[in-house]
Amino acid sequence: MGLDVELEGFSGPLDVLCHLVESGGISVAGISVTQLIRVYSDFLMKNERATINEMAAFFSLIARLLLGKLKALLPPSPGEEQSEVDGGSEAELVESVLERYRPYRAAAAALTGMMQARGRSFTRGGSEEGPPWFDLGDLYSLSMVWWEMVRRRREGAGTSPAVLEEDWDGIPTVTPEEEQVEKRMGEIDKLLSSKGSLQMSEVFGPIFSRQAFVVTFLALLEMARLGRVHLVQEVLFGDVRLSR
Amino acid sequence: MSGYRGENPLSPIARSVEAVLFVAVQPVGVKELASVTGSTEEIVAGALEEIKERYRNCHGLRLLNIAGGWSMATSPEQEEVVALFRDVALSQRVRLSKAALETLAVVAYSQPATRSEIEEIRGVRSERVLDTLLRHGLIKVAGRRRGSGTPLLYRTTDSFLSLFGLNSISDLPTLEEMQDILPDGEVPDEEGRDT
Repeated sequence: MGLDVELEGFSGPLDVLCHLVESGGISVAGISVTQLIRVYSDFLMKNERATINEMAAFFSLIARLLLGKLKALLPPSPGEEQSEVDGGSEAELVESVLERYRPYRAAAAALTGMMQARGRSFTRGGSEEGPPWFDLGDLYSLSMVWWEMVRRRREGAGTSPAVLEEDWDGIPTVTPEEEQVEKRMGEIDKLLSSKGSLQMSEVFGPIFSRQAFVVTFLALLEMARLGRVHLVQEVLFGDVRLSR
Repeated sequence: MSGYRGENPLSPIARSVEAVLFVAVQPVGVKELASVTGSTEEIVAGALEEIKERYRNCHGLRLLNIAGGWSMATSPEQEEVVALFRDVALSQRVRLSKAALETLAVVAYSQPATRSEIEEIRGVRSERVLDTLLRHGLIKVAGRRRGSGTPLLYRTTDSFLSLFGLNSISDLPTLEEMQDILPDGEVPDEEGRDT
């Protein structure tokens, strides 16, 4: 998890930076990107749970910093201004980021006004429901989890499919689908009661029949819908934890 | 009752259009209105004008052209009264934080946009706020960008248009026009934040 600093009235660090620069609170040239990165990298080093995203963002910042530094170290080309040397490139970097950001900031402000104006009129409420949403996100996120499991299953099946297929005493084909799902839900319920929480790989690990695989997935979705299980993916691309 | 005296009654087609809009939960397009009422789109457009004119003069209602269709809504003058009625305000008012609005603005103007593109512009991680917007149905996943990592692409939805009173995404002023409207990027007072 990242460090969340909530500043009342600001939507993010660039919003704060824009405000400070525009209000004359700080000069763009005075912003040391180096120092910003040093502080942030210290934070990342101390935080043992830095995610892939955070590390990627960090490396991106480092790369941009190095580019800026290289530009500053190289002798200016004949046409270039001398000011490049004393931190000019860093200031330019910050300024270009802010320049690109400002129109969107203005757009967000205009959207606020539009939403307020529209909010003064009410339409007929109704059975309008939002899009389906699960603990793991929308349907797209769910499909990603599904395909990842299918991939793992295929990889696993390549090693010893026949033996494991027989191990699954499973669900008879003649049983209606709903009953199979209900039965599987009961089994997962029992597992959760005994263990407290489970990894999704533990639930799907021993399954090598396609039908059982689908039934288990449906059972999990139904349980999530009914609030009988919470599905949490703690780490990007990681396993999914099942808990009550 | 006396308010209607002396006024011309609505034409039969305008009455039909009004009736359909009365029961409709979602905005209804002119094409569909024409199909349902068995007339042409031009006639329906005229009927809509007729209803709008009628509402403008002596009604607590108005017609909104949002999300590619027409919707019957309460007039802005009735805002306070309607908001007090049961839980209308709670059910229909979406409250968005500045971060959410800013993210929506980036998606709206750069769509389809990936999360990293949004974060690049905003300068801050936007995972949680994107989740909130997806959950509210204001944005949707619209496939993946080809290339390394094949990141998800986000687009705004009809609910977004509806929330901001827009008929289509092209109704939004351009970013350059935005700058002219709000030269300092000043944000009007917010009602609240929940994301």
